[in-house]
Amino acid sequence: MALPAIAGAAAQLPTLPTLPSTGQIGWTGGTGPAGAIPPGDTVPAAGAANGTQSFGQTLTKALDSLQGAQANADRLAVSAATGDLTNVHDYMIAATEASLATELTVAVRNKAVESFNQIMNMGV
Amino acid sequence: MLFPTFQTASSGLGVFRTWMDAVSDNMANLDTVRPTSQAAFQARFVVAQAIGGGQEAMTGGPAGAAVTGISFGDAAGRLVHDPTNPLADAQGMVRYPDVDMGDQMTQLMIAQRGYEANLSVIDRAKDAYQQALSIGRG
Amino acid sequence: MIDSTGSAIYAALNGLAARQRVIANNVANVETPGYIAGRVTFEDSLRAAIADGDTGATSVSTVSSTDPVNVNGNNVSLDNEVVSLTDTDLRYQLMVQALNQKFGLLRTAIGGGA
Repeated sequence: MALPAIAGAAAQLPTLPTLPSTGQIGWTGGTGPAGAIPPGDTVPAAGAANGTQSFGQTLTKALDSLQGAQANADRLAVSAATGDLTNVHDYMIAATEASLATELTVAVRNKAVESFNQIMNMGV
Repeated sequence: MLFPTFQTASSGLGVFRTWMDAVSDNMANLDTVRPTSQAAFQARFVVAQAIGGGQEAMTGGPAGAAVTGISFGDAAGRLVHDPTNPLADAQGMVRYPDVDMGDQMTQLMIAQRGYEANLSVIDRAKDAYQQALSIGRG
Repeated sequence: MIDSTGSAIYAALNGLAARQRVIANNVANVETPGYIAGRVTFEDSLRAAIADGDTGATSVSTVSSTDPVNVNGNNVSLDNEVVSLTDTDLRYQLMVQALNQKFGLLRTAIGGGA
């Protein structure tokens, strides 16, 4: 249901900050799970500033990066449990990232639902 | 290794503890008299070496120090003229160990400082890691 | 518990708690003649269990230390025990944090409106 009013509603969403890519954090690999950590996707700023991406695409990207951040934190947690993690702060940073990404996604979802409800309640 | 600094500091503690043990052994035997037919009490010296190199330490590899052996001092000792000693030989000479108390006390102080320095490393590292554990909390 | 990561963390918590108890026992017996220090191992078992995909199968075992004994027959080294205790303590805190973080994610998703 692509009502033109949605563009206006999307412009009222808070500007999403850019999450740092996890690939830039200096995890040396240690003897933990094999394979390098895939860099997490950065969440592009939503709203009028980035008109080329639809809102749905933005939301999907945010959710994907959440998956990546959570998987990353899980991997490092397991490596810390067996005592293989070399840098403690790597896990703490990844865990914080995952928490923030979750909160962000939840906030975006809430705002989207709120906007949708507002639109649905408008008299036709 | 999750906290490599602790292993390193612990190896340092081991080396200085062994050193202090050796010095206490020497000091306990300052007056151990032997007849001239036997070797004198030989002072103990601790031989220590570094584990690994600088590169491995930075990436969490083996680091620290280890005792690789004990070497012994002069077996001839000091010949002292003491005819009243039951161990004295025909000329009245006995062997005293070639251990100098002043030198041993100095070594003891150095070993103690080294031991305390390693303890302080453990303490500071523990504080640092605890700070890391509070990343992202509130 | 939650997922395989959660159960790995739980297994580590059990292992570390057992290690702490054994260290306390060692320290209490530092002057007991003939006492041999105990060592808790669970990391290798945990690694194997993770590789197998069944973290519930981790076993925590206590073995006797092979350190040299002193004149009393006692082989507890106070330095090693204290360092080991500090290490275990911090790792326990880290594991608790990890578990809190996992529960927190769920809570955020459930709570929604925060």
